[in-house]
Formats: sequence, structure tokens, C-alpha cells
Amino acid sequence: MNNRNPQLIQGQNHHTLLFNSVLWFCSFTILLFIFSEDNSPKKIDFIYTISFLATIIIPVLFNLYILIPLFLKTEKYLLFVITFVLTIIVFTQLNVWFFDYFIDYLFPDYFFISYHSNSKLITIFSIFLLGTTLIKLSIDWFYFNKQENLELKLKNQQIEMQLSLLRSQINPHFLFNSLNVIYALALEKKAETKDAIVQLSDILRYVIYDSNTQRVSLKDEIELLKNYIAFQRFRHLDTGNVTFNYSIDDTDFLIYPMLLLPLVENSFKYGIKGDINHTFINITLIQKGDELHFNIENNYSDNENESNNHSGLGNENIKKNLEIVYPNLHEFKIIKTESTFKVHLKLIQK
Amino acid sequence: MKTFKPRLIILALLFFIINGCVVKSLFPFYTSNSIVFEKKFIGNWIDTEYAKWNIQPFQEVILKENNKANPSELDDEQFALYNKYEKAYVVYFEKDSTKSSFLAMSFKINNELFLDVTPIEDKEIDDNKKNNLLYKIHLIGTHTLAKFDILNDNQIDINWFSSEKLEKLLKENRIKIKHEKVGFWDTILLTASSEELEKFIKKYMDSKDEDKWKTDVEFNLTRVNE
Repeated sequence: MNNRNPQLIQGQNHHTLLFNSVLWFCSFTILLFIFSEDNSPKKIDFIYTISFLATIIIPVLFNLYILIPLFLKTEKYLLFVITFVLTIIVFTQLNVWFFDYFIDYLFPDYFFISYHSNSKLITIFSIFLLGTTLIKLSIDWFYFNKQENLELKLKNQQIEMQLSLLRSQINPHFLFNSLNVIYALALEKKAETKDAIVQLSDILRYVIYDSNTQRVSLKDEIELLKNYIAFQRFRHLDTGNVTFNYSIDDTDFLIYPMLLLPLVENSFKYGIKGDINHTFINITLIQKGDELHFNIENNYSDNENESNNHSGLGNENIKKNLEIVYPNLHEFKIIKTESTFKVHLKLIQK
Repeated sequence: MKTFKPRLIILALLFFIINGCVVKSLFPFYTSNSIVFEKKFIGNWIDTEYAKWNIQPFQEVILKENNKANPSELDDEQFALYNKYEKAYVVYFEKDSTKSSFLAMSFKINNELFLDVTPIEDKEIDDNKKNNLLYKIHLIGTHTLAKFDILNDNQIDINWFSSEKLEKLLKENRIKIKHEKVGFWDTILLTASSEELEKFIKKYMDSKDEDKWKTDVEFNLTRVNE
């Protein structure tokens, strides 16, 4: 948003030729009928109107392309007002001189006698300069608005791309693990293999279809976690002590899809794997009113490399995701002890 | 209605002869900056048709009409007029036993003399016309413009600006000047301001028309030695 189009500042945000053609054609038509006595313009009216426009074009262009970009758009308002008023006074006087002296040399056969008093001339010049200033500012606003919308669209596209990228970082990782689990079950010719495949199928359906929506219901996300935990049990043969407790006021509470799964995935990956004898994962999910609290705690290996990984890439992805989809509406805390790794996530619904 | 037709035709002819030949204006053709007083104009003159012209300074006339010797003796209204028209003349015109009076003002534009003429009431003349009050209240004096040439101490030419010239300019749409068509005969009456009228005179003086001051209403005056 801060990278405003420099053209807007310089005042070149429209087609100058087209803008001026329309402006001066309309001005000519309006003035011609104002200057004509009986709405049937004569040759003298055409000559006078063109001559009058010639004296007003210079101050208007001077205002549009010098005063406005130089003073008004750079917020030097006092300077703008002073130069604006001076322009009106000076060019009104030039108009008087033009019609008192120079017009006779250009059109010696015509008598331009009764036209405008000085006060009326100043009024006409003021209306013209004010009117064209307002038109210019309106057009600038129109282009500025258009540019701002375009920038917003681009930014949204960037966010979408970023989110899509983050999701795509989860999916292959998860799929690879899942296939390993089914492969292991199949090798042992276990009867649970078909159940595992069905659960994986449910998880994948969710990941592929539902996670592409802007928001999913908490009920669906819980179902995903339950499926995932059940699926992981096949792999780890119930060696770990995995608990998942939840208390929800509103099952239709909406959250961003696939936000919790990576945390559970990390716990299974590093917790269960880290200490095979004292493994545990405790998951609690509480939703009340506009808030959702998600806590996940698992046993923690002292292995330096793995601990770095645990708080590394996966959590960074989650943080990025949260900053985009829950800006200023989330808390994300990692609490590490010697033997436990705990993540607390708080989300506030918009 | 038939019986009125010949009279209307006669009236129309009279109008064109008397009324329609000079340019009339609601406002004076001069501004205060261009007024000049020409002493040579004062006196008695006779034109080529033996009409008598008596020209007197306005200030002398107003004192005489009010029977005052000094301007300070005039009432406020008369004193204001005395000062306002300090460089004006009163023209008494007498022809074929008819009399009329005018207020004239001479002024210079580009070193050429002009005369602005407008009818005024005169006590002596008005006293002789006892039945024209109702007629008179419908009238308003207009200003006319005349080219004024002092040839020498004893000869003056006065050429009124012909309305034909202005009508031609208006007809050809070569002039934009405030005017109205008034009265039964659509007489052109200039309603432009005095500044605009001066501007017009300047421009007209520069025009290429060699007969620009040609007119049907011209007078060659010769001084009458008394």
C-alpha cells in the first residue's frame, strides 16, 4: 500500500490528450451557448468563444499541470491557494487586455464590445479553474481508487499463493508418513490395514477438498484430528499414551483449515519417536464464545538435532500461517522443559 | 381601419426621415476622462438651411434660469447639476419657427472631437407648449453621437453618426454590443455602458470604412457676427 504509483503524484494518471480534448470540447460548447444571445451561435460568437477559450486554456493548464502537482499534491496548501488566486487575477487581466487590444489585430472586421465586466470575468475564471481542479481531483481519485484496488487484489493473490505454498508443504510430508504406516501394516498383513486405508482416505479427502475453503467448522477439524490420531495408532501400536479431550460450545465455530493438524503431526513425529518408553501426547481443545484454546504437550527428547527440528520448520510454517489468517487475533506459545514440549494456541474468531 | 393606412404610411416615412437615421443610446457616449470644453463652440451659428444655433455654457444657463448671480446661491439639486455638467453646453436650435434645446458634451477620443447630444427641457420653450404634458411624460431623452469638427473660428461641421452603419454591422453579425429594439418601429437603442460606447468609437475610428462618418444628418455651421 505504501508503494503508491508515482504517476498519481505527478498527475499523469490519465490520457492527457483525451482528457483535454473532452474538457475543451465541452467547455467550448457550453461557452458558445452562453456567449450567444439567442442560442443560435453566429460567426462572431464562434470567434469570440475560441478567443476566450485561448485566454482561459493557459491558466487552466498551468493550474492542472504545474500548481496542483507542485503544491496541492505535496500538501503545500497555502502556497497552492496563493498561486491559485494570483493565477485567476493575472489571467483575468490578460483576458481584458487581449480583448481590448490584440483581438482587433486578429479580427479587424469584428467589434467585440459588450461582453463581461471585470467582476464577471473573475467569476468565470474562478469557476473554470475551480471546476477543472475538482474534475482533475475526481479523476485522480478514480485512478487512485482503481490502483488501490489493484494493489489489494495483488496482495490477496500473494497471500493466497503463500497459504497455498504452506499447505503444500504439509500435504506431501503427511502423505509420505501415512503411506509408510500402511506399508508397514500391509507387510505384517494386519486386518486393520483396510481401516487404516479408509481413515487415510477420510483424511486425504478433507485435506484435498475441505482445506481449500476459507474456513471449516470446528467439528470437521476435530474429526480430522480424531482420524489422524486413530491412524497414527496403527503405526505406533498403542505404545504411546495419546489423549485428546475437547470441550466445545459451538460445533459450527469456524477456523482456518489444517491449522491444528501440523501441531499434532509434529508431536507424533518428535514425541513418540523421541522416547519410546515414556511417550505421551496430551491434546486439549476448548472452545468458548469467540475463543479457542488448543494445547498439545508431548514427551521431549534431549537429542539436540531433533529438538531443533521440533521447533523449527513446522512451527515456523504454523506461525506464518497464523500471521496471515489470524493477524492480531492469535497467541502462539511454545513452552519447553527438559522432558516436555508444549504448544499453546489461542485463536479469537473475527 | 382603411382610413388609417395612409396616415400610417406617412408616419412611417416621417419616422425614417426624422427618427431612424441616427444612432441612439440610453447612456452617454463619453466618460468623464474624455470630456473637453471647446470655447470656440460658444456663440450663435447658422447652418446651410438657415436654422439658428445658439450655444451657451451650461453653467451660465443654469444660473440664468434660476436668476442667480453665483453658483453658491443655487439650491442643492441645481448646484449638483451645475457641477456635474461644468463642461457641457446648452444648444438652442431654432428652425422654421420651431424651437428645441439640447444638452451637448464635447469629448475627445484619439485626438478627434465628438459631440454627445441629448434633449433637455427648457423653461422658455416649454412655456410655449401648453398641451404636451401627457405626451412628454412618456418620453425619455436618448443620447446621440456626432462627429464634431472645428474647421476654424467661424466654421464648424457636425455629422451625426448614422444608424445605417450600425444596422449594417448588426445585420452582418460583425458586432457584439448591448442594444434593444424598442418602440413601434423597432428602433435600435444602444444599452451599452459609456465605457463600452467609447470602446466602440475607438474601434470604429480604426475601421477601414472610408465613409464611416457619412451621414444624412450633417450640419455645416457658420458663426453669426452680432
